[in-house]
Order: sequence, then structure tokens, then C-alpha cells
Amino acid sequence: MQQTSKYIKLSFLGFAILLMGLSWVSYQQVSVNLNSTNAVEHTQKVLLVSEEFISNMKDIETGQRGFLLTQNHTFLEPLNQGKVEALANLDSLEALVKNNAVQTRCLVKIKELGLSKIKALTENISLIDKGRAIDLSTLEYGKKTMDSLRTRVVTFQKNERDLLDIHTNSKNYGQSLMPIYQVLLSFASLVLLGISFYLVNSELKRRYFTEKNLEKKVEELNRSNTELEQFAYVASHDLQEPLRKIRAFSDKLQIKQKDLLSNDGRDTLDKIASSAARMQTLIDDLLNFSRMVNHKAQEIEKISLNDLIEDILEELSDEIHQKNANINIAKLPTLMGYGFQLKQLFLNLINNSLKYSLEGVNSEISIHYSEVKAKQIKHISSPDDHQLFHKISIIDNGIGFESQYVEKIFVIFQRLHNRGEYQGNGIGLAICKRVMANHNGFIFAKSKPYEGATFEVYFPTTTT
Amino acid sequence: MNKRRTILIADDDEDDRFLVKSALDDCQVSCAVKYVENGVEVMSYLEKGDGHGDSQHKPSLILLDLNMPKKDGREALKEIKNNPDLRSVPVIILTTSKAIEDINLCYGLGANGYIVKPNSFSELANTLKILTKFWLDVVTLPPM
Repeated sequence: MQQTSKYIKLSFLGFAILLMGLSWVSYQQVSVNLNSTNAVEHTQKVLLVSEEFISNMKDIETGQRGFLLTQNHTFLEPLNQGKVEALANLDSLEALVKNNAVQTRCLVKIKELGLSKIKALTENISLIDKGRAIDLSTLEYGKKTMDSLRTRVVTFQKNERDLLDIHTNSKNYGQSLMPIYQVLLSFASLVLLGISFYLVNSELKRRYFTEKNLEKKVEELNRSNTELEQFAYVASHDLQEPLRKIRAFSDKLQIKQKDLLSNDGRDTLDKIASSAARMQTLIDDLLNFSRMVNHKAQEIEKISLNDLIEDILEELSDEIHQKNANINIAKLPTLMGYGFQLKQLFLNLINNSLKYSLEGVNSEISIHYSEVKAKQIKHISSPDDHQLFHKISIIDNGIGFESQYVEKIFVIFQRLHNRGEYQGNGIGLAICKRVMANHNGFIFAKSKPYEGATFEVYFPTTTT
Repeated sequence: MNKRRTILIADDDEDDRFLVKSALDDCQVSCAVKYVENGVEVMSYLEKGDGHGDSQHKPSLILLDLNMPKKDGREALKEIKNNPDLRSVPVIILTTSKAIEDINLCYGLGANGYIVKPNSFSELANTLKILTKFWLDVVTLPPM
């Protein structure tokens, strides 16, 4: 199950990574497209403005020629207009190519040429205006400047176009791969999604079946438990009837036929009567036990264990006095439980400690309390390691028992001693175990012969 | 004391009837002992007598078992104690049930005593001796 959940996690992780890759590829594509659009726009703009610049320069040239020929000032208007626009366009071009060193250098040259052309031309005009003649060489210089200006601008434009080409090429190359990446990533995502779905689905199905099975098992268990409990009750109840009659009739026989019976007959009848009496106590115990087991009939209430144990010690005061027992009780918690059962539990445990004390030694019984986590309890496996338990230990200095019996002592009617040595029917600890089960708790024992015994009970801290 | 008195024993168990009869014999109670085996027979006895011309069919004491076929002791007890004519007849429950529910129920219904069948014959004899003495000779119940 853990393996499957690992796979599910992994495939979902892979799926997420692939989705991120897919998003990244798409983003790249969009941004490449945007870049190339910008580049095209940029180039177009550079070309347009440089074209305008050349046309401005032509306007200036034409204006100058017109003026030189006619000396009419109206020709100076487009010239002046052209000057202003040419300078403005140069500024725009500067701004447009400022990130490109080659083009900026190229533009600096263009600007130089343009400015010197304008300067020369302005000088010519002012000479004409003053009525002086102009040197032909200045005109030649003007033409040369204009020609080299044109060549420069053409180079400038060609550079820009080349740049665009490089850009477009790289864009086309990148874009031709993008769809392949996208398809591959989408396909991989789909495959992983399919795998995840399959894993989750099969896990869900498995859990569904397990749950159904568990429910069925629980139902069966409950039923068989109820049947068993009823069986124990009914059996012991119905067993009582004939037994009572055996006792009554043998008693009657003993009384009524006293004179007719021989000694042997009387002895035999005595044996029958005492055996029947013994059986009676066993059946009574069994009945008590099965009543104890049937905890559904009882109410859960808030129980202060200190108060409860105080009551028990009051009841046991004769025995305590007789054994000269010293009992230390820690501060114990208050918990939700079946009062009657909890009383039986602690009564049986304390009573055992008193009963199985070492002869000639004062009985020392201490009751300790601590809170522990489920993982600290050795013999259990809990689904939640961190569940808290009240741990109450009852420790005595009595005769103890062999550690091999730690489990046997909790089985009903199991005894470690002859009836002659210690009284009892082997039902006390069975009741304790059952009480703990009814409270979703546990009971464990540990001991060594003549070294006392320790009984530990664990109640879950949450309400039972 | 000259009046012939009757004790009605309602028990489905033959052995128990026999034991009670023997115990009553031992007590030397001067009264007739009648037997019925279930609640239906209890009620019909109380209405019509035993069908042998016993005009005095209202018994002086009823010893009633709880678990009987047809109509159990609880129902019979309820009917007796709800009937104004029969209410003054003392009813002692004599049963094997030790259940606290039964004890509460029976006293709630108006039983005059609740005795768990003793295990030994001598105990049974003693109990019945005290019972009959008390209920037949010592006390009388108010008719209403």
C-alpha cells in the first residue's frame, strides 16, 4: 500500500513537472513571437525614419539648388523645414539604435556627414545672400558629402535588414522545434496522467473492497460476540437450574433420610453437595463475568480514579489492616468510563496484591501514574504512534509469579495456585482484562517469583 | 384459624413444585396447597377455583414463579394487583432470577415479597416456614 502511494505521489510530481515544462515552452514561444514582432516593427521604423531622413536631405538639396539658381527666398522654406525634420529624424534614429553599437557608430558617421552637409549648404546660402560668389569646390564637396551620406544610409539600412534576417532565422529555427517539444510534453503528461489515474483508481478500488470486507468482518465479529455473550449468559443461567435441584434434592435426602443413610452414604452425599456448591460458584462467576462483558447496558460516566480507589480501600480496610499493608497512591487522572467496571478492575488488582503478599513481610502497594504515547507501550501495535494513554501501574512486593505466566493469568478460570493455598476461582484478572477491552485499553503484567508483581493498565486519553 | 386456608403455588417446574410441597409439609402448615403451571392457570384458578367445588378459591398466599410458559409471572402479577378483588391476596415471587430488573419490576407491580429460590432444601423449608407464618398468621393486607 505504501509502495502504491509512493508511485501515486511520484507520478503526480512528474505530471506537475511536465505541466510546468509545457507552460514554460508555451511561454517561450509567445515571448519569441513577441520579440520577433518587436524586431520587425523596430526594423521597419528604422528603415522608415532613415528613408525620411534621406528624403529630408533631398529636400534640403533641392531647396538649395532652387535658391542658387533663382535666388528666390521661397526655395528656402522647404530647406529650413527639411533641416528641422532631418535633425529630428536623426534624433529618433539615435534613440532607435542606441542598443546596437555597430549601428550607433554608423549613425554617428551619418550624423557627421549630414551636419557638415547642412553647414556647408548654409554657408553657401549666406554667401549668395550677401551677394558674393560661391566657390564651385564647395558645391562639389556638397555633392560628395551627399553621395557618401546616401551610401552610409544604404549601409545603415542594409545592416538593419540583416539584423532582422538573423532574428527571423533564429526565430524560425526555434519555432520549428517548439511544436515538437509541446507535442512531446503533452503526450508525456497524458501518459503520466493516465498512469496516475490508473494508480489512484486501483488503490481506491482496493480500499473500497478492503473497507467492505472489514465492515463485513466487523459485523460478523459483533454478531458472534453477541452470540457468545448470550451463550455464556444463557448457558450459565440454564446450568443453574439443574444444579440448584441437585443441591436441593441431595440436601433433602440428607435431612429426610438421615436415619436410613449409612456413614458412607452420608459422605458421598456430602461430596455431591460440596461439588455442586463449587460448581454453583463457578457458574455465578461466569454469570458475573458475562454481565461485566455486556457493557452496552451500562452508562459511561466521569470517574475520578483517586476517589474510586479511596472507596475500594475503604471496602478492603479489614484486609489492609490484617496484612499491615502500606499503600501509596499517586495523583491519578479523571476519565470517562463504566464506573462499576473500573471499580471491579482496581478492586481485583489491589485485592490480588493483598492476597498474594509475602508471608512475614508488610505489604507495600504503590500505584503510579504517567502519560505515555502508544509507541512507548511495548506489546501493542497502534495505528497512531502518538496517541496518548494514561498509564497506571499497580506495584506490590508480594510473591509474584513466573514470567512465563504473564498471559495465562488473564485467561478465565486459570489459576497458578491450589485452591488450598489461595482462595479464588481464576476470574478476577479475566474480568480486569475484559474491563480494559471495554475501555479500549490494555492490561499487562510483569513479575518474578518472590519479587513482587507489577500490573500496568493503559487507558486512551480520549473518551472511550 | 379454623378456616381452611389455601396456598397457591404457580410453577412450571415439576421438581420445584415437589420441593416446595415437601418443604411445606415439613413446616406442618395447616393449609391446602394447590398447584398451577402457568400464568393462565393462575388467573383461571383465581376466577373459578380449581373446579372441584372449592368455594373459597381466593388463596391466602400465592407463591409465584416468574418464568413460566403461556403467561409468565410478571403478567399474572400485574393482573392480580390491578384487580380490586384480588389485590389483597399476598403474592410472593419465588424465582431463580436474581436480575435487579426483575426485582424492581415485581415490587413496582405490587409484589409482597421477592425470594430467590434457595439452593438447599433446609433453607427452602426454613424460608417457607417463616413466610407462611408471617403471611397466613401475622399480617393482613388492606382490601383496597
